[in-house]
Amino acid sequence: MKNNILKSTILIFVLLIQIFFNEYFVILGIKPDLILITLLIMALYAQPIFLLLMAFILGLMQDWFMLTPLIGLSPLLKTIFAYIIIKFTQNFRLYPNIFLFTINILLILLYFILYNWISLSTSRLSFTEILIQNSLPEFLYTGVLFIIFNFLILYYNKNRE
Amino acid sequence: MFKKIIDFIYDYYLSIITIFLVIISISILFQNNHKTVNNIRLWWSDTFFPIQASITNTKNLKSAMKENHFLRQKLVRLNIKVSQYKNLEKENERYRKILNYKQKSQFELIPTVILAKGPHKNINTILINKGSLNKIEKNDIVVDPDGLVGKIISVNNKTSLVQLVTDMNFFISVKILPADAKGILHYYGGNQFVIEDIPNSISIKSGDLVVTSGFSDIYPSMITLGTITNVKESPNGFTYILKGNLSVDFYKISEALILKKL
Repeated sequence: MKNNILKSTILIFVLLIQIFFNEYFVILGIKPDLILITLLIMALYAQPIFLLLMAFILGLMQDWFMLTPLIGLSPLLKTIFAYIIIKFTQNFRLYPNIFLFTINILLILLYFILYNWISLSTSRLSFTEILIQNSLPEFLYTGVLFIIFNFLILYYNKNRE
Repeated sequence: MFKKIIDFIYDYYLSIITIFLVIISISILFQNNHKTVNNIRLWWSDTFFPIQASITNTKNLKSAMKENHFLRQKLVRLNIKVSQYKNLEKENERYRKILNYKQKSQFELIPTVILAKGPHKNINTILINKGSLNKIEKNDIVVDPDGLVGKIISVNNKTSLVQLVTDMNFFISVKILPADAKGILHYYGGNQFVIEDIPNSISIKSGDLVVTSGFSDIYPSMITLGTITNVKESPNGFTYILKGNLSVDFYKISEALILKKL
């Protein structure tokens, strides 16, 4: 219970940073998805049901309180992706860390491809243009942050041991 | 039977919850234009306006010093131009009186700060710190010194939502100068726009200026939108497809002006 409160606090803190301090993270007009990073990292430590509910609630908050074009798309994709990562974590827990790590990176790429493709489906941009202009830069930025946070957590855990 | 159902739920509870949450998400997705959905969004922006405003102001303060230096230099240059224009204005007024020409509607400029932008690169709406308390109304237009930013689509007490030129549903009647060709501009991607169906009998080249045509009740004429960068013949052989760059840098914009009809 105490653990869940701590994790919820971390997630709410990340949500607030994402909502209020979003503009501080802009690089060439690209912003990272901090909530996605936190959810993927938490998949290793949190209970599945907690992760699923948080993915939905935080996705919904993100859509509602930020100026996203489609309300509902973030909770939809985040819930599905949380489910996928839960299944991977449950089934491949004994595999080397690098396997889950690669799956996480691929999921981030897939998330941005799907998100931008759906939200810009009414535009005249082709799939390739959406991929080059939006999905890949957002994936790179979020992916790099994910790697940094992962290493920081690994380093912290090693030192604790 | 009942035990079987319980067992099934116990075995697949994660999948069941996921399906349930996915169904809720999809139903919200299909209710995007619903009034309640937009009202919650506006309520949030109005309630947390002081926090958002102070964070934005802190960020803006950093760039303000730099901008201040640049603007001082610009001001000196503009002052020289203003004195020249004042002479021209007086001359123009005199001619208008002679011709009995009626003055067209004038505008009040209300400065505003951008509180929030969308989380993704193709931002289509921004939140500004002026609302109905500042007499802002729907369809007031937003500009910055470089050109047209967008129009106000919904107004709350202290904040308003602005639909940007970079919204995929944003279409605007424009004219291309100096040829004076008229067309409809819409956003293409990146910082680019596209104008289609311009007859190729008109001479248009790269670097030509694109401004609002003034045909609409919302947008006054001669507000800059950008410049033409690419002139291409359409497959039908009769018209041009023009591409150009928007003059406003939507990634960097932090302040704007609301152009309000007097």
